[in-house]
Amino acid sequence: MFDLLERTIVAEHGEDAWDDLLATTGLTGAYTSLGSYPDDHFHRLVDEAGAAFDMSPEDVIRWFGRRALLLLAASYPEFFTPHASTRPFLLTLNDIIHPEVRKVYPGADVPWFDIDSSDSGVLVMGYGSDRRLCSFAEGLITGAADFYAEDVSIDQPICMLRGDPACSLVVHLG
Amino acid sequence: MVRNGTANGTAARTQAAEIDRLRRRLERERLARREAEAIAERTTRGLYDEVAARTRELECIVDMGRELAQSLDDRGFADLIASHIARAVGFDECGIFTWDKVGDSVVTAGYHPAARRSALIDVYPLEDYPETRRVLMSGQLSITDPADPTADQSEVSFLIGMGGKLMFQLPMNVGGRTIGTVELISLSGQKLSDRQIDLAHSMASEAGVMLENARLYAQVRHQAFHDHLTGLPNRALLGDRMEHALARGRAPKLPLVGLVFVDVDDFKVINDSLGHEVGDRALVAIAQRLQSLVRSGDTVARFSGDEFAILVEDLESPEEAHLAARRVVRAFQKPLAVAGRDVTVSVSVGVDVGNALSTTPEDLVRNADFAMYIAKASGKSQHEVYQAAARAAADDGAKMRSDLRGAVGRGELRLHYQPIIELRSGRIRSFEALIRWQHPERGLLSPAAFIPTAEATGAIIAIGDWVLETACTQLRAWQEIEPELAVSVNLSGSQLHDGHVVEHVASILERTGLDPRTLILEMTETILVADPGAELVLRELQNLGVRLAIDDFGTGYASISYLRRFAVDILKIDREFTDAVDTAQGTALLGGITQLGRSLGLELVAEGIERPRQAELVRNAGCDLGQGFLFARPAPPEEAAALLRPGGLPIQASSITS
Repeated sequence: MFDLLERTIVAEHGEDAWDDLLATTGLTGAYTSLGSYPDDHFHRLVDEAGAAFDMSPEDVIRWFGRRALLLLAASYPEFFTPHASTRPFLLTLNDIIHPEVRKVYPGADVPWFDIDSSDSGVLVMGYGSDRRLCSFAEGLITGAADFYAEDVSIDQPICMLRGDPACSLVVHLG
Repeated sequence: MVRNGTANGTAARTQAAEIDRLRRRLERERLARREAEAIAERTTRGLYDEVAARTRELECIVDMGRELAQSLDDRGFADLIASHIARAVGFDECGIFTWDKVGDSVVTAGYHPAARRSALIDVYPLEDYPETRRVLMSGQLSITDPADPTADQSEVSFLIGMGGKLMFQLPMNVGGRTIGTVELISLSGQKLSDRQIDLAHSMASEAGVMLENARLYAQVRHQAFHDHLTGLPNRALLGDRMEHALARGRAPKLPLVGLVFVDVDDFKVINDSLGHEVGDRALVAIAQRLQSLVRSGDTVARFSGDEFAILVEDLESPEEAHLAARRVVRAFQKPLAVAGRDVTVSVSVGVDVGNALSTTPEDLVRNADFAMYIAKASGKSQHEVYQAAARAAADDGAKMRSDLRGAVGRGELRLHYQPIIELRSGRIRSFEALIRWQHPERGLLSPAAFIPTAEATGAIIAIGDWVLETACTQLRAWQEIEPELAVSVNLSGSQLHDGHVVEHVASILERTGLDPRTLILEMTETILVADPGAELVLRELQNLGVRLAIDDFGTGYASISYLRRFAVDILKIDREFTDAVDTAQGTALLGGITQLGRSLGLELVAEGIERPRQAELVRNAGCDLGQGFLFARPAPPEEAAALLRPGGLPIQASSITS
């Protein structure tokens, strides 16, 4: 997560921007993909980036997710190439992608989505992690649609950030 | 400050600041690298430890499985499971309990250490142990800690009774069913980690499968070796026990073993009159009574249907087994209580005794069974001791039966002919056809050696047909020389009873063109008296024109009424009278019979004439015809034909003085 954030910011805003973020937040920034770091670090970095780029923290996270997905697709094409579109790719999250993530990063805290695929045009993805990173999920889903060159819109009729007990990501693809 | 971090700002920075920035970046990378290395080391070590622990656990399960598979029928099977689980989780004691749903209890199956097993009772009612019941019903782990005031008190007292400080109860699951519990007891208060609990669970499930298998195996084995109805050992187990009983000990101290074979008399009557259900219950009652007669080491087995066998081992003497046989017969003098009523049964019992040198299990069974048949044949409610001589005779009979079946087809039967002479002229009036069997191993056999067997097995019909056919064909050939010649053929009771003889005789007469008057059918009085249906058959035979003779007259009933009723043509007077003819009384008797015969218009033949004097006396008594060694012995057809030539008979009528 942190190294993805670093790569995303460096790619978009340059190395100095990441240096500056670390300096402002007072974090050492020695993040490796193998480790797990406090959520607080992530939110401090996001908040500071929002201030620097004039975005809301949710928008930063959404933006980060969307870009991060493309980085992931470049690093791990084997999870992407078997599918021709976003929907079947998303359906492999719980059973294939996240278990693989846990193998490589034993400390990784990946969520489980309660996916309702009964409607062929819409995927409803329930999300209930305490980390409340539904925006990151939105960003990743949008990034996936970018990868498969599809249009996507995501509604959240209920959302933990608005005080609901869980989030529901309603994904329209097409 | 971030806002100032732009390309323009960078250009304005001093070189020193830039170096400082790069140094910090380098430092950050160095830190990240060290951390990554540390994480990699930790992860690798963790994975290694995990693999090692998992391997150890799997080894525990595999070791247990392997050892259990080798001791599937051991009594200490569950003890073995307990010891494996205790060792795997490093616990002092472990108990295996199976759930008896019907009895609403758990049954102690095994314990580790086995020596402590005596501290347990066999059955724990679940009524008294609600916590154990909860484990069984819910499939959830239970921990009993006496220090916990909410702990279930019955479990606590069990635990304290075992001298333990902490107890874990795990359900033993087999394919989604709970079949019992595993109880791990710590004497020191040591706790189980989640990992240990998981391992104990896995082992308990594995063991549960084996325990189920062992139970099924024992059940199947019991079913394979026991009779369903009576629960007694079956024939297979009896054979096994006989084998063992004979194999124990060493010469010269070979153990003496007896087999008492018991057959219920007329069991079919019980089944037929009281129904099969009562019949079955009677068999159970019989089994129980037999069981009550034997010592604990002896085996009562259900041999088949209504046959039982008792194996008596370590006999002091054969008489002991004979006494046992008598005891069995007597034990059934009192009626059995069957389905609320008294049922009286009797048994026939045979017994045989032997040791490893003198017998085999198969011989014991065969001999005791044979003795039982002798007992049954001599009346019910008897016992009989096996005798080798009786067996030998019966064995001969059995071989004879099987040999006889194919004798006609193999062409082993022969007819010999003995002439019947006109005593006055010395002319041959007729031949009696007498059967012989050219047995491939035993030589030429006389009818006495095989006809009773042929009668008993029904082979007599085919043999009788053959005799008629052969004798008539022969006669037709001889009549070319001696047109008046007749032949007499013996008819058996079975042939008369069978009735098909009429048709057969008719077809032979037609085929050979024989004058029916020249065919004489001989039969004994006994046959006529024994078979009321014979009269009709004889009439039909007479209608064909053949003549009838009574053989061996005077030895049976000598009834005058049937002589008239059956319109007999010829009387053959038994050799007994010929033998006695040189006494005054004998002469008078023979005279009486010939007068009777003459008055009925019968021809009379004296049998068994061996001496010229007898021939003379017989003729003087009024008998016209004679047969016996004096004239000729029964001979093969070619020798008999020679007798027909002039001077063929060794003794001439002229030598019989008057």
